[in-house]
Amino acid sequence: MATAAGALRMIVRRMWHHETFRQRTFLSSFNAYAYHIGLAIVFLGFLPHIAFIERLTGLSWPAVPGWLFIAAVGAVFVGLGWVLIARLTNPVLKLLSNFDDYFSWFVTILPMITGMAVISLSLDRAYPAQPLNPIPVAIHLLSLELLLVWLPFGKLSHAFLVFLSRGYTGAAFARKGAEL
Amino acid sequence: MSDIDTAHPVDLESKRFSIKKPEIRYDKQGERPDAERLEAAMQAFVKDMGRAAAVYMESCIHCGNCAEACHFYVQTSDPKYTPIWKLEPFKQAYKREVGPFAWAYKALNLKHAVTVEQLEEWQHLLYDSCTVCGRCTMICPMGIDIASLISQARHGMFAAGLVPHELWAVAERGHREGSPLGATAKVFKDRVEWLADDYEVEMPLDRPEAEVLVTFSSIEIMKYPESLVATAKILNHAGYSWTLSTKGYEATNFGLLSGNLDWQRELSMKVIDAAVACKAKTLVLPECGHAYTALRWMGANMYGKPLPFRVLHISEFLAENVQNGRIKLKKVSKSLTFHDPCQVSRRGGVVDAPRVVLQALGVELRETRDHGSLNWCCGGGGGVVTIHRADELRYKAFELKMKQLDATGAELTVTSCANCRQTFDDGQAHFKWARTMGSLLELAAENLHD
Repeated sequence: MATAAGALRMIVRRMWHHETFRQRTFLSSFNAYAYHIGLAIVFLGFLPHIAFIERLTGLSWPAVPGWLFIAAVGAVFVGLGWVLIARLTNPVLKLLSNFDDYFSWFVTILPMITGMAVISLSLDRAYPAQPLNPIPVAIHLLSLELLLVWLPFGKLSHAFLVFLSRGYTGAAFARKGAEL
Repeated sequence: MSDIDTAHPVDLESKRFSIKKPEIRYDKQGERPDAERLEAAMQAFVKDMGRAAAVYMESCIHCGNCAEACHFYVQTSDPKYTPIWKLEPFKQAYKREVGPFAWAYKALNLKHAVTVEQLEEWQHLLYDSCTVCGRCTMICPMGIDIASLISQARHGMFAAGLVPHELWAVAERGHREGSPLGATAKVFKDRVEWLADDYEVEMPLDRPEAEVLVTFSSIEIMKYPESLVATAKILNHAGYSWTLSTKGYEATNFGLLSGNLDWQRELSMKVIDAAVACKAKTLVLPECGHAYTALRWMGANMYGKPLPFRVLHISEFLAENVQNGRIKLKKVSKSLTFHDPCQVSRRGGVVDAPRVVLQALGVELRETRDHGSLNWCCGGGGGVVTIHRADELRYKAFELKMKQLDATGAELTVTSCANCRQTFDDGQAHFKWARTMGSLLELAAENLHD
């Protein structure tokens, strides 16, 4: 029981660094939060995306205001751009980075870029006034599918592995009464 | 400190595989073909690969945060000291040989096969520049226990005969003689009798039955014999029925440090068997970091079932008996700072116990900026202090520690690990540092109420 609680506590606890590490990791942590939240807003808060999901599942929810959507898009582009620059220039990240890191970056930013090709038509309504050119929409959907296909195989799998790895360590440390 | 086995010459000429070539040597034990060495390393590594390790291997997002927690990186800014990079050949082997998509990686050669040259190169990273202190585990946003993976990689390196000579030599001596520093049963018995006479303190040896079995570290027996006397005074003062055993007196476990699981089990079982034989209810471990990991957290795994006795670090024993009133301490009117040994505090969970003792001693405790679970390592753990070629790097890490302790301005400095203490003694001599590291146990023994 204590170990299960430790696993859960670790999942929450490691969402932010211990105070002593914050100064040295502030920029990378801030950036990671910015583009992860940005991606979530773009994917789940954009009206045409909600309409698309509603058509498939029947589920819907309110969209985010246009200004927030634009801010989120900005955060994703700036954040992912920063990640790439850091990987190419920071000696530690340069050493660690491999094909998986760069390809995962590529399949993450690709739907954002292809989405930009259709965005001007439908920023604030679920369906555009005029029919969309199907080619950019198809490319956008294919780029999303590429991301989903790659997700379990590469670094993007951290989206679900994060719970397992934090959980294992949390359980092991809780057994010893060690700080998480 | 250790004998270097001249039967296994040091190879200084071979080519190295690296992005940045450090001017260091690597050591090999025994003569055998490279392919055999490699096979042994991979088999040992894969054998220990559990679910947790597999998840860790898959989870790393290469964020590089772990570098910021490692004293070797922080002090040198050399990216090769990034903790997760120290595992690179094993990550490579995992992807190619073990992972869920190993067949694809292998068939398409997406991950190259690990070479012996790589492992030789990584010897410096897995041993010389990692104290297994686990500070990197505390920063990893994915929660990967990097230190546990380093220990696992060391199993592979040991199987391949690719361990730094000095560390291998002390581990081998521990296996052969029962003590890495030559504290054989006879030497131990002589020491105990001499100390009991000299200090006029009762030190019961080989009692058939006792409530408490006490163990020491080889460093204490050979270098800090006052610790043995201090322990005896504490146990006598608290009024326990206790004993030492010539069958299991040393909790030091170089099998754990060097990566040999069989030797680790053998050394742990000596102590466990001795405790079972005298029907001890409590096994008291010495001021030794990895001994605590080996017996408190891995002892039952070695035994194969739950241990029939409690296992306490000496600081836990002191705290428990201070709290229950069996140990009464005099006040020490001085300021003091405490160095948390990584294996006892961060990786062992014992952070409060030494502070309970210090509070009972009435000292003005001046904590370092990073203390408890986030303390900086002394730089000598994980067997690093035995590896002479690592001295220069170790001293760099030690500078961080000196600065941290000096900043407190405390009059006294104590710890509860003989290996840390030894590292501090060496660093003090090297830097002609004014501060001397003391022992919490000895401080408590010196201040027992009559």
